[in-house]
Amino acid sequence: MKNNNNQLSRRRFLKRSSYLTLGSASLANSIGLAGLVNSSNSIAATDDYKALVFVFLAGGNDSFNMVAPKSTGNLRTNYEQGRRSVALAADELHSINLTKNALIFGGEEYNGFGMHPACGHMAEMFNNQELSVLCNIGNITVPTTREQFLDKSVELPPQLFSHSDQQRQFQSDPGSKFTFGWGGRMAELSENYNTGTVSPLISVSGLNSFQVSKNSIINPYVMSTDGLTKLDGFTGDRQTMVENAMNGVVDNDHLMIQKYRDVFSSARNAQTIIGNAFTQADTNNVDYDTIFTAADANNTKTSRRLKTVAKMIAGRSSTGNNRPVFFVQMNGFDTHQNLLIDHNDLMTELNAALKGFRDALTAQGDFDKVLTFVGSEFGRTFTPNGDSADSGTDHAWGGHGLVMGGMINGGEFFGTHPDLKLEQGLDASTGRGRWVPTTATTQCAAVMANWFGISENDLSKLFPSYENFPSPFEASENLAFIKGESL
Amino acid sequence: MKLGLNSNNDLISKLTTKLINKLTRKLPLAKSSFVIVAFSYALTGCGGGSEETPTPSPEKSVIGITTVTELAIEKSNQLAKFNIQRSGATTAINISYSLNGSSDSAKGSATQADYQLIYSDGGNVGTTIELGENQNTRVIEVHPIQDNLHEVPEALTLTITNGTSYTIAAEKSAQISITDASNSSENAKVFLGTFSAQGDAITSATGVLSLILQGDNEQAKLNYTFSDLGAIQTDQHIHLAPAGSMIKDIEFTGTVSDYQWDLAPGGIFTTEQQMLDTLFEGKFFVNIHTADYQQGEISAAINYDANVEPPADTPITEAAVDRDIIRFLNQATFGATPEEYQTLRDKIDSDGGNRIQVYSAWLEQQFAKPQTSLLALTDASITLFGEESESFSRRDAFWPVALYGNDQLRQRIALALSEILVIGDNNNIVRKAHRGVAHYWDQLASNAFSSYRKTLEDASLHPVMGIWLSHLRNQKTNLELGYYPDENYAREIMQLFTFGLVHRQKNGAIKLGEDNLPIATYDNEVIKEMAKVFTGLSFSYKNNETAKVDNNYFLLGNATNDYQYRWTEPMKFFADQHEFGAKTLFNDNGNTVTIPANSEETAEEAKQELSQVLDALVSHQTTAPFISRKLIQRLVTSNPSADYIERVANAFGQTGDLKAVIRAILLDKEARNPNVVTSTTFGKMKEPILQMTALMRLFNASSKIPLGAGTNGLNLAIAEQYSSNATLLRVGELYIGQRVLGSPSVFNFFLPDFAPTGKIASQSLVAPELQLLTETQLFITLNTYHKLLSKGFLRSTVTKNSEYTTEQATVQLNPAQLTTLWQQTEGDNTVKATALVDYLDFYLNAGQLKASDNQSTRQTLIETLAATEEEQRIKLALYGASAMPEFMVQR
Repeated sequence: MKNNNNQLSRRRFLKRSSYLTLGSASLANSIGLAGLVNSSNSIAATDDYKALVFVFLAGGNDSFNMVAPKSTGNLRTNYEQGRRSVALAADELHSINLTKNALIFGGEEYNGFGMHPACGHMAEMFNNQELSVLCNIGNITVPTTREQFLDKSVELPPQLFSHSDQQRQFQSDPGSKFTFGWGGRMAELSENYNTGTVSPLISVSGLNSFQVSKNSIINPYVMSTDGLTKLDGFTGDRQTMVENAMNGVVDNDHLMIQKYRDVFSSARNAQTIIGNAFTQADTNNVDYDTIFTAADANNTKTSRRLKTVAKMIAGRSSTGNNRPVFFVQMNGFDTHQNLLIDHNDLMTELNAALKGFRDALTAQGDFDKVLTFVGSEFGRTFTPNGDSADSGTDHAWGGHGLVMGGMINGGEFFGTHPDLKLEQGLDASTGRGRWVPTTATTQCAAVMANWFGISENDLSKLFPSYENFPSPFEASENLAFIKGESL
Repeated sequence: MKLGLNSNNDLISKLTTKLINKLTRKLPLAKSSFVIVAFSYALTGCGGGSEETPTPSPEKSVIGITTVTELAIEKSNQLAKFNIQRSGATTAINISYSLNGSSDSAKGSATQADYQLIYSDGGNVGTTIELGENQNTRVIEVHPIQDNLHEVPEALTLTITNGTSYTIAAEKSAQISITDASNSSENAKVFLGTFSAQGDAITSATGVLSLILQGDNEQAKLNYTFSDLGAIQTDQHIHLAPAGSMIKDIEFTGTVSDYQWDLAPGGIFTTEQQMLDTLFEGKFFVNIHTADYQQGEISAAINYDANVEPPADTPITEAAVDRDIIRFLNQATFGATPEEYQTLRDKIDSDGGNRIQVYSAWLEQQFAKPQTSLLALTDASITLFGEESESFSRRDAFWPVALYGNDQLRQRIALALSEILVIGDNNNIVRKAHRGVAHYWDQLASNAFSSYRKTLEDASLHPVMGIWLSHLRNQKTNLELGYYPDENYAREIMQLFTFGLVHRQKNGAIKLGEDNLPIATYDNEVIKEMAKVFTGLSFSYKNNETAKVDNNYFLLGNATNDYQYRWTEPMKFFADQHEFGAKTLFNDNGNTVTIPANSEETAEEAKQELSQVLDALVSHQTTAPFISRKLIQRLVTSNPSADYIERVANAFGQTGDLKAVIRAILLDKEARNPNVVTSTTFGKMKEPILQMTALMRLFNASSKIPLGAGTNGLNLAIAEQYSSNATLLRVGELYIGQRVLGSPSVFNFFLPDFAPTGKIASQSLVAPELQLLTETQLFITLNTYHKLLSKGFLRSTVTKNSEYTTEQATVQLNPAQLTTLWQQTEGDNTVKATALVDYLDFYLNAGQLKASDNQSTRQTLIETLAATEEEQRIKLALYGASAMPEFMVQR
C-alpha cells in the first residue's frame, strides 16, 4: 500500500476542508447554501443505500448466558457443571428454533439452545430468521488452539483480557499496532458512495476506536443520545465574536486550539444538515416513540440511541451519504459481581432496544438495508468468582456476537460453538473456562464489510490479519450469514 | 538481512581506515602518552625508587598535588591550574611526574599538542617539577593551545611518581579538563536540517531540524518538528550516513524540543571524539519511521552551518515572570486569583527575583495547611435539605472545597489522584454510599503529601473501592463448588494503579525485549495469583441501630443507611476467606516477585502479605515513570519530555514520595519555561472541571448561603479551612462531560494516550482531555456556560427540600472587578475593552493571548466588547472567555 497523502484528489481535499473549516460551516447556516446542499445531495439519494450499525457491549458481555443450552444433553450438563451459581435454569430460557444444527467444538451437533429469559423479543426475531448468532468469536491473530496457547507457541494479540486493549482490537484488528478501526477504514474505502459534507461516520456514544480512519481525513461526527444538540443563546455579537475567533485560528496556533476549532466547525456544519435529516424523518409517518414504547424500550439510553440512528437513516437524503457507519455503545457489561441480576437488566435493555430498532427500520422500509452487528470485547469466565447470590464472572476471551437485518440468513448459529468443557478442549486456563475463540472477529467483520461493498481483494486493507485465516467465504468456516452467500 | 550486514562491515572497514588517518594527523593520544610514560619511567628508574610504600622521613619532603582550577578553555585562553605542595624537608628538589589522559577510553584525553605546562612564577615545566629551597608550594598552569580543531573535553591527569629525595602524599594525582570554548550561548554551534522523503518513500511530509552544540562540545540540544506523515509514527532514530546504521534511539515519538543528546558513543563508534568528528562531517541524520515506511518515511541530515548565529540567552522579562506566576497557580490550584498572584509577586520582588525559591516556599506552606473536609461539608449540607438524596449534597460539596478551600494544592492533587485511583458514582451502590465516597476523597486529600505507597494501600482497602472493583467480599478458590477469586482488582491495580501493561525505562519509554517487542509486565496466570491476595476482604464495621459495631459476617450486605459506618472504615481481612499460600507474582527488572507461604493463617498474616505486595507494586521499576507521567499530565502538560518524566520518576523513588514528586513536577525547568507561551504543543487542554473552577474562582461564584456564621449560614467552623467569603454552592449537575468521582469506568474520563486524529496524532502527540471534546459535548458545555451567565446554577431539588428561595440558593458569578476595571480605565472604549480582555487573558490564560503571534482572537474580543451594548458587555466578555479557542489550552 503506497502512501497516498500527496495524491489527494481535489475532491477529497475539498471534503476534508468541509469537515474541518469554519468557512463552510458558517456559510451552511445561510438558507442559500443549505438549499444547495440538499439539491446536490439528491444525486446520492438513490436506492443503493446500506448502513452498518455496530452495537458495542462494553465491558465484556457474559454471552454464555445470553445464549445457553436448554435441552438435555452433554452441552447442558457441561453448562451446569461450569456455571454453578450463575447458571440459568433451563425452563426459564426462551426456546429458539435453529434452521439447522449448530456445530459444537469436537464434532457434535446440537440444536437445543435457548435465549436469556429477558431476551424474548430477540428469540422471536431469531425464530423469524431476522437474527443469528456468531459463535465464540474473539480477538486472535492466527488460528489458535488451547495447546498452542498453553505452551506459548502461537502469536497472540497483545494484552489479552484487558478491557482497553481488547476493545481497541475488537474494533480494529488484533494483529497489528492500532492505526485505524475497521469502520473508519471502511468509510474511506467507500468514499464514492458518500458525497455529503457531514461525516458518514456517526457515533451516538462518543469517540471510539472503531471509527478512526487510516488517513485521518474522515472524522467521526458524535451526536448525543437523542440526536441533535442546539447551541443556546448563540446570536448577535456573541455569535459574530466566537465565529470570528474560530476563523482567526491559524496553522501556527497551538495544535489543541486548532483541534478545538475543528470540532466547533464540524458541530456547526452538522447542525444544519442533521437538523434537516431529523426534519425529514419526522415527515415519513413513522411514529418512533410509539414503536419503541411498544417494544418496552422508550427510555433506556440504548433504545434512545438506536431511535436516533433510525431517524438518521430515515433522513439520509439530507446527509448525502449512502454508506454510513454508525456506532452505538452500551455500558455496564463488566459484571464481576451480581451477574444474574445485573446481566438480566442489561439483557432487558438490549432486547427491547433491538426490537424497537427492528420495528422502526421495518416501518420505514429500511430493515433490508441496515446490518446490525452486536459484539463485545470478550466473553467472560465460564466459572463464577464466588458462590453467593451476588457472584460474578471475570474477563475471558471468546464470546458470541449477533447479526440482525433483512439481508442475513437468520435463525442460525454460525461458526463453532464451544463444548463448554473445562480444562480441555477450548479452555485457555486452568479451570476458569476462558474459551479460545473458534472464529476470529475479523473473519466475521470481513463478511460484513464485503456486504457493505468492500471487495474481497480489499479486505486485507481493512484487516491486516485477514490472510492469516482461511477465507470466511469458504464453506468450512460456516460463516455464510449474508443471504446469497450460502455455499 | 545479509545485505545489511555486508554493507555494515564494508562501512566499518572504511571508517576504521579513516579514523586511523585522522588519529595520526591529530598527534594521537597513544603516541604522546607513550613518550611521557617512557620518560617518567626513566626518571624513576634512575632514582632507584623503592616499590614499597615509602615511610615518611623528617629528612625527606612529602609531595602532594591538588587541582586549583579544573577547566582550561581554548577560546578564551582560560588556564587550568595544579598546585604542588610539600611538607617536611625544604631543600631544593626535582620531582618526577607522569601525564595521562582519561581512564575512560570513550572520553577525550589531552595530548601535548593541546597544552603547555608553565609555572605561575615563570618558566616552562621541564622533565621534572622543580621546587627551590624553602619553596613549599608551586602552581603549574595549563595553557591551552589554540588548534581550531573541534574537540571533546579532554582530560589531563598529572601524577607525582616516585623519587629518592621525597615521598608522596596521599594526594598524588590531580586532573583538569581542556575544552574548546565555554558553554555560553555565543559559543554554541548551530546545525540545521530539513526533512524530506527518505529513499523512495512517497510522502508529502516535511519538517525542519536544528541542533545546538554547546561550546565544550559535550552535549547538544536537538529540536525538530514535522507534519503530514502518511501514517502513524512508529519510531525515530539518529542514524549514520550512508548505510544507515543506528546511532541513537529517541525514546519517544513526536516532535522533539530541546532534547539533550549527550553524543555518547553509539553504533559503530567507541569514542566521543569519533562522534564529534562525524557530526561535523554531516554524517548523522534523523529519520522518522511510520507504519507505512518501517525503514523511515522522512529523514533530515544534520549539517553544521558556521554562518548561523546561535540563539541568544534572553533574560526572563518582568512580564514573563508575571505570566509564569499565573501559570504556576493554574498548575497548582483550581485557578489563579488576583490575591494569590499579588502575594507571590510581592515575595518575588522582595526575594531578589528568584521565583523558583518563592514557589518552593509556597509549596511548603501549602503542605502545612490544614485539610478541608468534603465529608464534613457533605454532612453539614445534608442537614439543610431534608428529604433530598444525600448523594446530591455530596456531589455539590466539591465546589466550595475547590473554590474556597485554603488547601488548594492538596485538593488539586486529590483531583489528580482521583483520576488515577478512579472510582465512579454512576454505580448505584457507590452513589448511595455518599459518606463513603466523601471519605474516599478526603482520604486522597489526606494522602496528597504522603507517599503513593500509603495512598494505594488506603485506596485498596477502602470499601467504596471494594464495591467498585469488586474485591469486597472476594472469596477464596473453592474447587468443589467450582468458583475462583474475583480477578478484577488484581488486574486494575497492576494495569492502571501502578506499572501498566509493559515494562518501561525510568524516562517512561517502553523497554523492548530480545524480539524487539514490548515486554508484558504480567499475564493472566499472574492475575489469577494476584487475585488470591485480595481474597477475604470485607467490611470492618456496621451499624446496630445508631451504634457503630464490629462486623464479623463476611458476606455483610451493602446497606447505605444514614450512618454508613461500614463505608468509612477500611476493609479488614477475614482469615477463613483469604487464600493463603505461596504466590508467584509479576516480574520486576528480571526478577519474579514471589510471596512465601504464610506461617499462620491469620488476618494479620493476610494483611502482612498485602503489605508485601503493595511494596513490590509501588517499588516496581515501571511504577515511578508510569505514575509520574500521569501526574505531570494532570498538572502541567500532556506531552512531557522523556527527561522530565525521568526527573519526576527519580523524585518518586521506591515509595512514591508525593511531596518530592509535586516539587519535581511544578518546579521543573520544563514546567517553568516561560517560552512555552508560543509553543504549539506544550501544555494541555483544560479539563472541564478545571476550566469551570478557574472561572468561578476568579469571579467569586457564590450563593447567599454562607458556609460559616451569618444569615442563613451553615455555621460550619471554617476559619482555617475556607476563605471567609465561602458560600454553599448547590450547582447541580453540570453537563460539562466530567464530574468529580463520576468517571464512567476505572479508565477515567479520558485515556492518558488519547490522540485525536489529525495533526496531533500525526505528530505522535497525545491530548487526553480532547477525548471528551465531541461536537455534541462542545455544544452542551457551551450551553452550560450560557446557563451560568444567564440564570446561574441551581440544583432543582434544593428549593423543594428547604426553606431557601431560588434567589438565595442560586450560584452566580460576581464579576464586579470587571465593571470597576471598565470604569476606572481611562480612555476610549477600545482602551477600556483592551483592559478587560487583558485581565481575563492574564488570569485565565497566563497572558498567552496577548503574547501570541496571532492577535486575531484578542482583537476580535476587544472590538466586539468596545462596540457592544453596555448591559451585555461583561457577560459577552465572560462567554468569550468560556468559548473561544485561545482560552481552552493551559500552556
